[in-house]
Amino acid sequence: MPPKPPPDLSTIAHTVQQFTAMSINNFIPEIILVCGFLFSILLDVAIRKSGDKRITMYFAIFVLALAGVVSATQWLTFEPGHLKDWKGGSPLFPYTQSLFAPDVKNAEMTNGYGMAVVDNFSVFFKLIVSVSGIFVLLMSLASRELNARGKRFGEYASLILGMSIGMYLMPASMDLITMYISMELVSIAGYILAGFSKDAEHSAESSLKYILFGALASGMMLYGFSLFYGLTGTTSIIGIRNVLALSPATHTGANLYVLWSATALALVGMGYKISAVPFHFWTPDVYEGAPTPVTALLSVASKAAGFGMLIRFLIFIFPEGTAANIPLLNWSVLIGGLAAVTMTVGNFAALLQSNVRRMLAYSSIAHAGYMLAAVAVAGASGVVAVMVYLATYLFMQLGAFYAVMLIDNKIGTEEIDDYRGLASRSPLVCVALLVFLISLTGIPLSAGFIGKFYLFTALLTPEHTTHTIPWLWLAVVAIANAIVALYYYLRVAGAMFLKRPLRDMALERAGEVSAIGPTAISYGWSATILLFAFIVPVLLLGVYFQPLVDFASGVVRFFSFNNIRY
Amino acid sequence: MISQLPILSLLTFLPLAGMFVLAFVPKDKVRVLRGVTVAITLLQVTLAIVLWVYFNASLAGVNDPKTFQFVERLPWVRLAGIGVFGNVAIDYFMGIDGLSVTMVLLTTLITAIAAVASFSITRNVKGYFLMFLLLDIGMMGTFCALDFFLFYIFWELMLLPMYFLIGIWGGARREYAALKFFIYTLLGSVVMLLVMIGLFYSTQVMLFTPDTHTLILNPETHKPEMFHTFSMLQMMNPAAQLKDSLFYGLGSSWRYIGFLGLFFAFAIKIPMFPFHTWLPDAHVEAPTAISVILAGVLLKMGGYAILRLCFGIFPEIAISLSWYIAMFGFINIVYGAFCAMAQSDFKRLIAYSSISHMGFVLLGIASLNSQGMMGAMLQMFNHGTITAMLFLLVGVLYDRTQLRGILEFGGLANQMPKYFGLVVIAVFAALGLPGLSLFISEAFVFIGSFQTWQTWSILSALGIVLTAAYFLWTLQRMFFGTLPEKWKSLTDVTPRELVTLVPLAAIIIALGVYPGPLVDLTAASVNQLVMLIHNAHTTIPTAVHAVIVK
Repeated sequence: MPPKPPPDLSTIAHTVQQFTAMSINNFIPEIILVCGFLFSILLDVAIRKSGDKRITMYFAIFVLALAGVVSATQWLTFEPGHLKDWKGGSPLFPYTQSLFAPDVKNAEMTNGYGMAVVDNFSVFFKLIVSVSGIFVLLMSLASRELNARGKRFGEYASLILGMSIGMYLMPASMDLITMYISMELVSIAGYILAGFSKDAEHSAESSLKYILFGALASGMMLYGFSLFYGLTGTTSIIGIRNVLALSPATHTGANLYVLWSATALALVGMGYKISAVPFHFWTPDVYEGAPTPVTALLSVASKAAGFGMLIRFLIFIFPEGTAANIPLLNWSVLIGGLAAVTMTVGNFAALLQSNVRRMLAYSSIAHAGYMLAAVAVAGASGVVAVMVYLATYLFMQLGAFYAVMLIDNKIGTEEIDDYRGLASRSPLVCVALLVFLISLTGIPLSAGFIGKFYLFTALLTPEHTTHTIPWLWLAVVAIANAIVALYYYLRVAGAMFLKRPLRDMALERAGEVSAIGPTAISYGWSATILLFAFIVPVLLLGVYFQPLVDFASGVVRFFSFNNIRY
Repeated sequence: MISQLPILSLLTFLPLAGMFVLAFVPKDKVRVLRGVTVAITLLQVTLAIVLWVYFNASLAGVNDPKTFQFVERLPWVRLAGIGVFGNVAIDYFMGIDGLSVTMVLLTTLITAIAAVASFSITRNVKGYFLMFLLLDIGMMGTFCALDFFLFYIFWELMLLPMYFLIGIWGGARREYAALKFFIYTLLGSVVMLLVMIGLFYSTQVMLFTPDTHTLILNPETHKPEMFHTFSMLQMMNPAAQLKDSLFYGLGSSWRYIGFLGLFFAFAIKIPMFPFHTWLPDAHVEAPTAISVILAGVLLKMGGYAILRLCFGIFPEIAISLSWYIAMFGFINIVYGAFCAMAQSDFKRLIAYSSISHMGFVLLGIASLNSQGMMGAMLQMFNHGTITAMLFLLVGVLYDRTQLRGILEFGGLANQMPKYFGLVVIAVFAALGLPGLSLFISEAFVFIGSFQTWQTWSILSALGIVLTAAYFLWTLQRMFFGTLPEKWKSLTDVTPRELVTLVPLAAIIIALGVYPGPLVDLTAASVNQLVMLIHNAHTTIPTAVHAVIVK
């Protein structure tokens, strides 16, 4: 691309002013979060040391809810009549409003699409982040670990709000720079949160591990981004797409290898965020060491944001090549391989765990593998599958962590062996945990089945021209994994329901905790309500999943790329 | 009037109402818990009898949507299409024909008997009956569902309660057995899920709006909207298959894969050698009532689903693979019999005899003619009643002695005469004595299969001899000879046990003497299925694609 002549400074100033004024409306959810973040710090200072710091938590919940509601109003309804305008057409996404360049139809500059967009895709992920953030804050209020440090709730709430800003921006990013910055925002808040209970045994270790892996991964991602910039001269992903499509020199000869390396390096960073194998090594330690609500947040919200960014990056950046529907760079092979390895490693490692939370950590790696498999399908069905999976995963994974946390609050242990006979002592929590585990396995009448169902539907997308199912092998790998997963999820269920309580062993292991023993354990009404807030969606989505799938389809309808297979 | 009632939904979801009631009964009110469950199951029996009375046996069903009876159809999920997904239609679609009506009758009967037999459960009774009723929903739904998605959900719904029923209330190795059952069945059903999704992509129909009965139109083009559907009947309908889909037309290699995938899932349930290893463990560890349900109902689902789905959807593959099915039938019969002969545990012996008896079902359906298939249907019903009775009888002994070893006993005939009498009926029925029900079904199977697969039929006859051998040998060791001193105080069967045993004995004898009613119920459907298979090569168009196997 020939360099453009530098425009007149006053024109730039005028354009920036104009664009900022026009797109500020689209930025309201993030503005709410930023203001909320700043105000929560002030609030924390304003409350005296002896005061109830929980107020900051309620404030954070309010801010997240408000941001979520405002995001939801940005949802665009699809009107079938407009189909002709964009399907297969050259304007890439006329119905998405760019933050800094709202009038995308006329934007011809390679970087004319702004730093981030508001479209249904980002709205979907923002809602997931908001909902899981709210649930995590509610969980945190009940956490024994965090209540022990109740004086620091203010700090905690503002960190979660800060992290949410990053998670809001990640799936909305349209520029490599925004991608990097928003991901770092999430990571830095995550590092602090992971080590939040400073005097807990593994907390510091987990935080340090998280930082080291995070620094390495983000460095590699940045290097990959710089290669993209070197190849194409722009950091806008639509710009990169256009340059790749228009100038063959960027992807022929030696440059193809550069393109591959750039992609692979960028994937390191995103793979780290979604804890895909082989960038997963931090996951079990951090999940075990961090306070349970933080673990839940990392395993749901930050993973969802990571997937949003990954999909945006992969599907938007590569133009279709010469052959029909095949992207210039056949990244789906790479992602498919990663998916297979990720789910297998995650599941087999989970088999060997004796600690429930560590088991859930590995199983979350496996779930990342399933979602990656849907990403690999590289089509509308795959994107829908990822979103349906994420929405169902949100409730079952958070629910499982919450149940584990409640049990840990009372009996002070997360070992599977100590769960023996727990069902007779606290039936409600055990039944709830069972529901979540069943859903994580993917048995019908639970939300997890719907996620799995759409995953398999995407993987089995037939290729009519060749009379084959391209991803059948991955579907078979996923099936084998589902069976392995059943085994370890049932180990927990079996310990709770099938085994009799072993008083002596548990007492011995837990030492000082006196609540152990075959006596009934009671939980407060607030715990019960929150548990039901998880159970009801898990069971309801298993039967009545039409709205969720319609919702996810509403996102994909606005994608008009030729490299999304229709 | 009766046919207007949603009788199948009532049958299926009555246990849900029961569960709701049970949830509010305190844990220690054991009698109330038992009473509610038995009442629910008896209500189901009543409904099933109503169903039987109003069932029109001349309507065939199978692949003809118009002749299904007691049909209920409500739209469940309607999704507007995106990309390759196309529009999606999932229905709450229930209905029965001759293939399912006997299974529905059998299920209500066995469930009611198992509910009474469950009175021997004393630990955590509430949890037990909740799981029991949940299992009941799954079983009824599986036999009534005509939408594959719905079928799949009911099919999987049985796994969890079964896992707990075996795992909590079972014998010494209960956890192992429960886990094995769960993993085996789930393995089969996830493979079924893949095939189901493949079929869903291949099947496309136009749909009517439920209220105005006009075709649903595309809002833009105003042409009828096409929907991918999970309806089993449309999957059987060649006209509903998309022309460029994987399962379209004779000779598509995908049709073999689809058939084998489904067959694998159902073969595990039957269970067919070599996928049978979960069965002996599950049976031995399960409490008596659950063994009864397992043998009486769950195994039948395998045979039923093969007939309805494998044969209904892929009839031409059924023809080309029937030799192998017959072979596996033979292996099941003889292998099961030899294994049974080697057992010293009475319950394990019956479990293996189940495998042997289910081999006749496979042999019967592999014959592909009316006699053989009818035999298979009868065999499923009769095996259900006879094996249920045998398991109950083992339970009687186990409740008294906590032992099941054949060699532990001897000379019981004099000590427990009524018990002995019932055992004789069950055992002689199981070994195929003329005048008792199993003889009729095995005779049908042989008449059918001899026409098609002579060698396998002749070899399978060996199984009859072996069955007689191990059952008579068992009878001799347990009931004749000298009574060990410690069993001098054994009491005979109680009235409660008689309530469970006598109806089964009566049915076994009645159907042995006069199998007419059962044959009439299924005949039209079996003939329809046989026609469907025999006409497969003319009704199903040839595949249009290059990938064709011979």
